[in-house]
Amino acid sequence: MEVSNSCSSFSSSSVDSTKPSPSESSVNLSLSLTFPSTSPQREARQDWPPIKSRLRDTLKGRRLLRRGDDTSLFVKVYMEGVPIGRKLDLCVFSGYESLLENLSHMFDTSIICGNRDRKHHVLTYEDKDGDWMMVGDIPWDMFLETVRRLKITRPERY
Amino acid sequence: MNSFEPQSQDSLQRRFHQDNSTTQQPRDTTTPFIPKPASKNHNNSNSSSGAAGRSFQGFGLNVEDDLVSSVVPPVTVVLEGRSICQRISLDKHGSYQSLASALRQMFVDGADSTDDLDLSNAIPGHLIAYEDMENDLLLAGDLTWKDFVRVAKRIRILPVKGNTRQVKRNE
Repeated sequence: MEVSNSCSSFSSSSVDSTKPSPSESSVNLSLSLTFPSTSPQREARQDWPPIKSRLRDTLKGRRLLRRGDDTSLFVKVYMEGVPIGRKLDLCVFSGYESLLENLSHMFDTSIICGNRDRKHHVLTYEDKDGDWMMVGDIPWDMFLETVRRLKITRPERY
Repeated sequence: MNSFEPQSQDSLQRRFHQDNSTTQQPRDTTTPFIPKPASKNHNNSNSSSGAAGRSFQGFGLNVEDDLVSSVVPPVTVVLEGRSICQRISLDKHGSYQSLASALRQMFVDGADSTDDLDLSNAIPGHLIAYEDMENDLLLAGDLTWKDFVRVAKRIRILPVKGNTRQVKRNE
C-alpha cells in the first residue's frame, strides 16, 4: 500500500513538472512504462505475445486505463561479467541513494555514482535516445522519465 | 512518439465504456516473492472481447487474465547441457512457487514436495532464468507473476558456477 502510494506520487510529480499537456503525456508515459526499451526494438515487441491484433489493442487499452492505480517502472539491470540480468522497479526508490543501496545489495558489490575509480563499480544508464550516461547527472524525477536500462560497469583498471 | 490509429482509438473508447460498468480490478502488488493463488475459471474463457465484457459483468472475474490465458502459448524450458527441451504452460500456474514445484518435478529425480520451495532452490545448484521478448536473459522472480507470464518467452535453467558471482535476490 505504501509502496503504491509512493509510486503514484513520483509519477504525478514527473508529469506535472515537465509536460503540460495531460493527454499527450499520459499516453507517452503509459507507452514508456509498458515498453521500457529502445526504439529499434519496438517492432519486435509488437509481435509478442502472438495474439490477434484486435485483442492486443484491447489489452493495451486496459493497461493504459489501469496505469493510475498500478504504477511501476521496471527496468533491466545488468552487471558486466554476469550474464543474467535483473528487473528492478524504480518507483519504489526515493532517489539515487536508495537505488544504489539496493543495487549494491542485489549484486553483492560496492557501487557508486559519478567518476570512475579503481575500487568501485560505477552505475550507468541507457537513456531514451540510446546513449549510455553516468547515473546522477540529472534530477531523480527526470531520470525516471528517461532511463531505459541500467548497467553496472567494472572498476577501471590502470 | 507513438500515435494511435483511429481504429485503435475507437477500440480504446469502447473498452473505456465497458470498464465503467464493471467492478474495479484488484490492485497488483509489486512484491515478487509472495505467492498469490489464482482462481481462474477456465470454463468461461472466451476470446471474443465484446462477449467477454458483457457476460462477465457482475461476476468479479478477471477478464484480462482469461483473455490472456486463452491465447498465450506454452513456453520452452531448457536445462543447460540437455539437448531435449520441455514445455510448460505458465497460465496453468498462479505463482512462482507453483512454477518452482513444477520445475522440480520435471528435473529432479525422486523429488518430494517441500514446504519452503521457491525458485532459488527448485533445482539444486541451478538458477531459474528466462528470456524475454527482447531475447534478454533475466533472473526469474523480480516481476509480479502476472507480468512474468506476459513477458517470458523461454525459461532457462543455468548452473551456478563457482567462478561467477552469485546473484542475490531481493528479500
